[in-house]
Amino acid sequence: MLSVPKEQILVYGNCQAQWLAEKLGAVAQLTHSFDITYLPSFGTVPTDHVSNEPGFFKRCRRVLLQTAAGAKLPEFTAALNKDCRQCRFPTLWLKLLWPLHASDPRSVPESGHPYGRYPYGDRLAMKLLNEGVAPDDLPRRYLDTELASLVNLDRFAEISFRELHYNDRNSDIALTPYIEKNFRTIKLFGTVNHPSFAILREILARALDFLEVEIQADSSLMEGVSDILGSEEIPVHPQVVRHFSLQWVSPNQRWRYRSAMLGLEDYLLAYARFTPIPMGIPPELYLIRAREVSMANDFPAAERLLLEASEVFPSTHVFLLYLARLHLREKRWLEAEKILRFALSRHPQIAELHSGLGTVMLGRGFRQEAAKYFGHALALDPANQEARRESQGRR
Amino acid sequence: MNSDEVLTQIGLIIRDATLSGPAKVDRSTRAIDVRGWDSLTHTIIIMKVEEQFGITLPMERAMVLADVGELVDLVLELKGEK
Repeated sequence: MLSVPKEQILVYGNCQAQWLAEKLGAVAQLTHSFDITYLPSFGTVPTDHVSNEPGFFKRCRRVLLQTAAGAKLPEFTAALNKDCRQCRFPTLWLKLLWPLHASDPRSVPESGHPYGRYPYGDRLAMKLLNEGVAPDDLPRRYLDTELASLVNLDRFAEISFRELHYNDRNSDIALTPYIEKNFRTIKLFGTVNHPSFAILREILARALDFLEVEIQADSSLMEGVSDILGSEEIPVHPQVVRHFSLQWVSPNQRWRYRSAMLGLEDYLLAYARFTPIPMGIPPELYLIRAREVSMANDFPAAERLLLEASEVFPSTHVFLLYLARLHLREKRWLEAEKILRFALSRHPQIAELHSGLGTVMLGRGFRQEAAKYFGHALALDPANQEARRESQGRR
Repeated sequence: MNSDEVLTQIGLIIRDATLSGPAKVDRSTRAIDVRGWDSLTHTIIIMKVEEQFGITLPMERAMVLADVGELVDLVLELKGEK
C-alpha cells in the first residue's frame, strides 16, 4: 500500500535553524502529523534533498523562516501555498561582546579545519603581530592595550542594538529585548554568531507557540555537553567584561576552543602562534557541565553527562570517580559501590577509586572491608588524603 | 564637502576597519569584494562613518547598501549636501 506523504514543517536558515529543526523533530506531537525538514540557507543544497522532490513546497503547512537584516526572501517562498503559515525569526548574533572581531587572513580552510584554524580573528592581536610583537609577548601587550583607544564601547553597543532591533522589525519573533535584558547575567553567545542554548530555548519556545504545541521547551530538549551552538568560544576581553559588568564571566574563566579548554592568556598565545587546535570535545568540559548541573540539583543530567564522558574517554577514570562522589555525598552507598567497582575493573591502579570504595564500606558498616580498601589506596598512593584520614580516624 | 572628499574618507575607514582591505576603494566597491568586510566589520564601518561625519545612519538604509557609492550618497544626503 502506498503511504501518503505527511504534511511538512519547513525550517529554513543557518546552523541555528538546523538546531531548531532537530529539536522540533524530537517533539512527538509534531512528528505524529508532520515531517520536519531543514533547508540550509548557505552552501549548496544536495540534489537528493527532499525539498527537490516535486510538490514539496506545496505540502508545506508551516514554515519557520530565518531572516537577516537586508536579506531577500528565498525564492522558494513564491512556491508556497497561500494558506501556508510562515513565521520569520531573526538570525541571532551579538557583536558588542567582541568589538575586536575581524577576519584573520591567516585563517583559511585546510585539512582538519574546514573553517580555518581561527575563523574568529582579532583585530588588535593582528595589529600587534603586524607591528612585530613576538607571539609569546602578545598576551601581555594585548591585555595592556587600552580598548577605549580602539573603539568606543558604548557607541558600538548602541549601534549593535540598533541593528538587532532592525532585525527584529523584519521578524515575527523579537528577541532583542530579551538580549538587552539578559546579556549581562546569562551567557547568551559563545562567539559573535553562535548563541548559547539559553537563547535558543527562547526561539524554540516561540516556535512551539507558533506551531500551537503545548509543551514546555524545558531542559529535557537540551542535550549534549556544550552550552553553546558550535565548538568554539571566544574569550571576552576583560575590559569589555568590566565595561558591561558581565556577571557570567569569572576572572579565571576557561573557554572551550574545539578540543581544548583555555584560559584567556592561553587562548591569546595559541592564537598568536596560530597553533592548530583539533576539533573535538575537551574532557574537562564534561566535568564543568556535570558540576554545574549537579549544583543545580539536576542529578540525572549530571549522571548522564558523566557516563557519556566515561564512554567517550574510556582511559580516563575521573568521570566515574566524580559520579561515585556525587552518590557518596548523598549517602547512596550501593549506587556509589556499583560505579566504583565498575571503575576499578577499568582502572585498578587508581588509589582514589579504592579509597572511595573504602568510604562506601564504612558507610555500609563494614569496617574491616573498609580498612582493606583504604590499605589498597595507601599502597598505591601513600599521600591519598581520604585513606589517610579514615585510617588515622580509626586508630 | 563633495562626493570625492566623502569617498576618500570612507575609503580610509574601510581600509582601516578591514585591515587587509583593498588598495583602492571606489564607488562601485561592494562588501563582498573586500576581504574582511563581514557583518561585524560593517558595524564598525557604520560607527566610524557616523563619528567621522557627525551623523546617525538609519539602520533600514545602512543595512542594505549595495555599494560604497550608496554609502557616500547617504552621507551627503544626511549632511544636507545632496
